[in-house]
Amino acid sequence: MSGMQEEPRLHATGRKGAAPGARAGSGTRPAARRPVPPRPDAPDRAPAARVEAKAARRESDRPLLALEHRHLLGILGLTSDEITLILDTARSFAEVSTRTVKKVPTLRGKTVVNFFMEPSTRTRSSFEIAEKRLSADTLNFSLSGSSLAKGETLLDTARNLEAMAPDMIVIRHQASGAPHFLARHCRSNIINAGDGWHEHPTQALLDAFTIREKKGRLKGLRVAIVGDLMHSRVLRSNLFLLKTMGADVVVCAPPTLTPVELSRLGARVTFRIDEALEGADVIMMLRIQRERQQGGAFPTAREYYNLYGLTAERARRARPDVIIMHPGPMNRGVEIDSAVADGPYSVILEQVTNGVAVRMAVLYLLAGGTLGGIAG
Amino acid sequence: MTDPKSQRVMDAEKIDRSLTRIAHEIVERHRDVGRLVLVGIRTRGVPLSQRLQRKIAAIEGKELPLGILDINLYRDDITSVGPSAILKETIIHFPIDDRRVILADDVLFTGRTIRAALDGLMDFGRPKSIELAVLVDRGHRELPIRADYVGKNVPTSLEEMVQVLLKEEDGRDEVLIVKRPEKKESRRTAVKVPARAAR
Repeated sequence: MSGMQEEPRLHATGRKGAAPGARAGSGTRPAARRPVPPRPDAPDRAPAARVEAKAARRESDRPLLALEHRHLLGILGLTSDEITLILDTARSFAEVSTRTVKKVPTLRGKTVVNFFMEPSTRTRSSFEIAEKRLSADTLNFSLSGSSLAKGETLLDTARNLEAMAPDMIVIRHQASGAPHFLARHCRSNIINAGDGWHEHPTQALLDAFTIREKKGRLKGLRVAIVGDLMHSRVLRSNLFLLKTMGADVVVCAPPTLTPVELSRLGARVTFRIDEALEGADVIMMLRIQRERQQGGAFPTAREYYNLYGLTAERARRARPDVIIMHPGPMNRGVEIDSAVADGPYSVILEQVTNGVAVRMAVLYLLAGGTLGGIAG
Repeated sequence: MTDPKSQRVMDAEKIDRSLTRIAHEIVERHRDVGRLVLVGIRTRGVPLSQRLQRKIAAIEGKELPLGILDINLYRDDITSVGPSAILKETIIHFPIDDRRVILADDVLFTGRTIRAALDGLMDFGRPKSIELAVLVDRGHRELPIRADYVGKNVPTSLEEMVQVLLKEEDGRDEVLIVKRPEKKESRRTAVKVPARAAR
């Protein structure tokens, strides 16, 4: 029955019960290195159309009690109900982190592999703490310590990982689509911890959680996203999420760092930071990713700071109760001024705290189907 | 609407009388209610513990601290059936170390919920003792757990379910025995929250 497909497959998340070969895509732009080829039988539909189709399938006022997905590969494909479920669940987990004993036995006996093929401190530690707080057994792989460094293919690595029978794999990879590739070849639940320029779903979820905790809602908020739009997976996930939840998103960067398809995805694009910040409820700064830039997208860091850096003076254009966010790591004095990063409107450290709760929620919600929900 | 095939075993008056009796039993057993705290297990253990709190306050003139415990994180079946409900907060804003805890729930069935609640409580401290108060004990224990205070013992078969309805959650006070519906294939999809069946 593997060839049967009664409804359109989702783009970014493996639906629970879907065959392991369910199609996975590369998102809003071509994959950075190894694009995942689409299945010949999968129709190539625009991302927006896919989201609408998914939303239309779940037009109801029923509360959602469980995720319908086996994997979290991206935000694209999640409905507002599913996002709300994750955020609501995260709120409960935030309480666990305030206890004296910050540990619950929920994932006792489960093995989670953290497979990080790119440098990461925050995300990796956050996942590891989340896993430990849920009592899971964790195993860490990184590029330097893995056979990938010796030339092993991702498929062989995946097969070897699978042979160790982990229940979940958290993957960060420099290639867009790598988590989707693993999802097709592993029976474990796959969580995308950042793939190339594509998506970083848990970052977007923790950003949304932080905004909702501070503002009480996401719908109708004006969110300004400023920085390296071209290379940012955080931008894509946040854009999909904020649009799905009804926020008004304006994005801003120099033209050389602005991909052309952003306006098609529902964002208002401006090249002038003052215009972007005007009346903003939330300012989300993005890191200048020099390591991903082949050529110079701007002359100097000093010039970038002068034209696009967030200073206290510029932040005054936003609403008086604005919150200022940054996914980290920050380039102080390039995209953000230290006085703003450490100032009273900054929620940057709260984002880090909330990241643990959100990742606990994702692990918890995905954990349920591992015994019964595996196709094939 | 009450299912016509259901059998009512307690009405509002009986529920109230049972809780009054339990409150008196608690006070009798604990001369010093100053060391007592109440913890209700979500969902219907919460209104029950609130009612016990009011009744004990009426008898002793002292309002006991009240906590709320969500046991979902301590369930032993997450990997086989999945998380079945949206997690809600556990709210215990007082130390339970060396205190005598009265744990309250609506129905005592297999004992697994209570086991989970005991595990959860232990993460908040080391109470002097934990006692269990339930509105209905329907039997069929799978673990060596018994209640210290029981509103009503209701012998049931496994084909039956005990449904506790409380004003705070359901708009009316009633305890019903209903026939268990045909078991369907377990699936983790969006489902409407059912009127809670007894665990």
